[in-house]
Amino acid sequence: MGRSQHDDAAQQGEPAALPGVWEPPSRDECQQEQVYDSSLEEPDDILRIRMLFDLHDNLVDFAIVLMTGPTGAKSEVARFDIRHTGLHVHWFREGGRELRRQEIMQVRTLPEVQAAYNDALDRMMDNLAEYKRRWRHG
Amino acid sequence: MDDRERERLRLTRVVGKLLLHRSFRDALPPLREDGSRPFVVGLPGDTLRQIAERVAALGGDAHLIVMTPTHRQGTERVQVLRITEGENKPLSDLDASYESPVSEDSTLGMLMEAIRVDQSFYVYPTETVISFISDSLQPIPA
Repeated sequence: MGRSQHDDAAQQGEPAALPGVWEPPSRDECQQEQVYDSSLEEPDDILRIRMLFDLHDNLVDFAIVLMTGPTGAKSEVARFDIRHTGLHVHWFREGGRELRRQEIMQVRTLPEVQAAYNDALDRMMDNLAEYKRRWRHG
Repeated sequence: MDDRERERLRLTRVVGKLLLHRSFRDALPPLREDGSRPFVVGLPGDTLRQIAERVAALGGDAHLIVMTPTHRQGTERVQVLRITEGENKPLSDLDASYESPVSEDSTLGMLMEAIRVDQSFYVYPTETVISFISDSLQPIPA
C-alpha cells in the first residue's frame, strides 16, 4: 500500500510530512498488504480496508475507503489514512475532485496507529450517508 | 435504512475491528488474483438470494461472515463461509456427497442450522455454491 498510496497522495497535493509524524517501516520489514472489501446497503457501494502489518503483526499503516460505482469503475467517496500528517479524512466529490481534507488526530507511535484505525473505522461507519450525500451534492 | 441494515453495519464495524486479530484474518484468505478478500456480513433473516446479490456486487466470490452472541462474555461466535457463483448445472448432476441443493428462498438462519464445517450447499436457481469454512470464538472488540 505504502508506495502507491504515497504516490497518489503526492499527486493530489498532500502536505509535506510533519516532523515526528508516524511513518511505516520499509516494505521489506512488513507483511504483504491486505485488502478487504465489504458490501454495503447500496449495491454499488463498497467499504475497502487496506492494512499493512509489520513482521511482528503490528498494524503500521492503513486506509479505510468508501467507494461507489459499477464493478471495475469504482471511485472514492471518502478515505481515511494516516500519511504525512496523522489521521485525516479526504472528502471527495463525484468526478474525483477533493472537497475537503479534515485533520483528526496526530499519530506518532505504533500504539497510536491502532487507535487511529479504530477511530477511523468508527467515524466512517457513523458517517457513511453524509460522505455519500456530499459526494453527490457537494 | 431499516433495522436489519443498521445491524449489518454494526456487525461490519465489529468485523473491521476483528481484522486487527491475526486469528481472524487467517480465516479470510485472499479470493481474488490481486490478493484482496471480499466479504459479506450475513444476517439470519437474509435469504440466500439476497446474499448472492451482494456477492455478485463484489465480483461473484466472497467470504460470508455470520456472527452470533455466545454465553461467554466478551466473545462472539464467528462462522466463515465462502460463496462462489457456480456454473449452471442441473440438480441431478450435483455430487450428493458434498453438494446438497438448497433453494435461494431459504434464509441464512435455516442454512446455518443445517450446514456443517467442510460441507457445501448448491443454491438454486441462483447457481451459487456455499461452503462452510470455519467456526470459531473471537473476542468482541470495544
